[in-house]
Amino acid sequence: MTHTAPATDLDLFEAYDREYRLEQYRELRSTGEVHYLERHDVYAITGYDAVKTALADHDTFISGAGVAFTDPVNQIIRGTTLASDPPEHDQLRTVVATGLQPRAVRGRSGEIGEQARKVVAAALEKEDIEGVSDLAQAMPLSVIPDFLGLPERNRDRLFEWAQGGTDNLGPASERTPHNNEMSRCIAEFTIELAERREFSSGSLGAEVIAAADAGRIPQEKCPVLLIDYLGPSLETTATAIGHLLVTFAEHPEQWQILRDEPALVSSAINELVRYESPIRGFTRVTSSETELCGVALPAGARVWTLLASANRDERKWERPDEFDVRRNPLDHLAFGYGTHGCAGQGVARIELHALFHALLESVERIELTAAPTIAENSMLNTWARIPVRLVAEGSAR
Amino acid sequence: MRIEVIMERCEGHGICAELAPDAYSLDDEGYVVFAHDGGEVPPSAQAAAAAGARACPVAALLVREA
Repeated sequence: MTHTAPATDLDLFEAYDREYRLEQYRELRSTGEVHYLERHDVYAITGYDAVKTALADHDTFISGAGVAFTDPVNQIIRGTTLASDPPEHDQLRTVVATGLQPRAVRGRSGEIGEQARKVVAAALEKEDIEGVSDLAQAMPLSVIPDFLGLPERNRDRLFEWAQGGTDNLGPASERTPHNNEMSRCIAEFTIELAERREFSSGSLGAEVIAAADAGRIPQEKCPVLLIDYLGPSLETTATAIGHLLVTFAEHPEQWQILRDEPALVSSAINELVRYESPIRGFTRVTSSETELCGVALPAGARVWTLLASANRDERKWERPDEFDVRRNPLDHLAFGYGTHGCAGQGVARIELHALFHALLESVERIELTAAPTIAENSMLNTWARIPVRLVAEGSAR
Repeated sequence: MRIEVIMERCEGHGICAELAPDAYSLDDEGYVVFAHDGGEVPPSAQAAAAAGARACPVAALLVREA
């Protein structure tokens, strides 16, 4: 039988603390998979089955009306792959995703492994490091800009822009003016890159320009497609690496299991992003009146698919709040699901794989030297600062 | 039970083959090859085939119950 979604005045944006947010998801899940958030006029989808069903049904739960909470931001992201529907989406995705697919990036894994060893060696040379800049950001920064064929300028600003742009996908906040400025910076940079055709040859950026020259996509689409690359390619991976540091510092026995059995790295990557989903979730709009896991939804409703909650759903996972590197949760939803599933997950997995192995080769323990600081971000679950020490194998300490 | 394979969506993430190697493999170019493509999945292989399909991160494999 279909029923209406229970309404709640819970504010899912009042805190940044991970545990607090997880407790809110748990509270919602205890009374159903779909709730109406009165404060934001949005339906929150918190159950694994409901999130997956909605993401699979891209004809009913559309992205073309934007995947952010607010109209001004949905205007900004219009025309990106992220915020478009088939058939246009599929055409754009082919251009953006082809060069990112596992088969396309597998050949680079040696080179990425080399970068990972350098990043870890540099971190080991210092006694204490700031895990976010010294390791989490350093890793994707050593791989992705060259892969995209970006010029040197602005590379150091890409994280700040992506954090602001992603935060902006949530409801309006006191950070909105700053976030708008970050979105403006990234948009201007991509327009400039497309106009000046500044990509190194053979890079993904150069392929976007080539696709436009060949008439496969309109020329004016180049900047927004470049946003699809620049926005999510660095920050999300850095976020996952930040969680790697903190989670294994808090679960040293799990690090030891991996050291004894490095074949578990693939499983550990899946478990890490299940346990600490980097992105809370994006929104969709219902194209018609529909029903989701027994709950009636009106046409034109904005729904928020909470990947982070689905990944902790006690109906789906045994011991959902336990971090277990042996679990190998292959069907987690941290990368989304379906036609809008993360196009860069192949590259992200290779980067994480390389970094895990480089760390396992030389690091006996990961120790926090002070409490890490969570970032104030509506849509990302990410650390702002991680004071950490990598204890080298055979170290006297 | 059948598995619908939507080749245009396959991006070669290989999760299906990792989870259910008897049902799925990747060809030389990294695209999915389903052992029971176009036909009824034998009962003994159904659980693995369905699990592999459900884990596809881009929904290129869909479970169709008869």
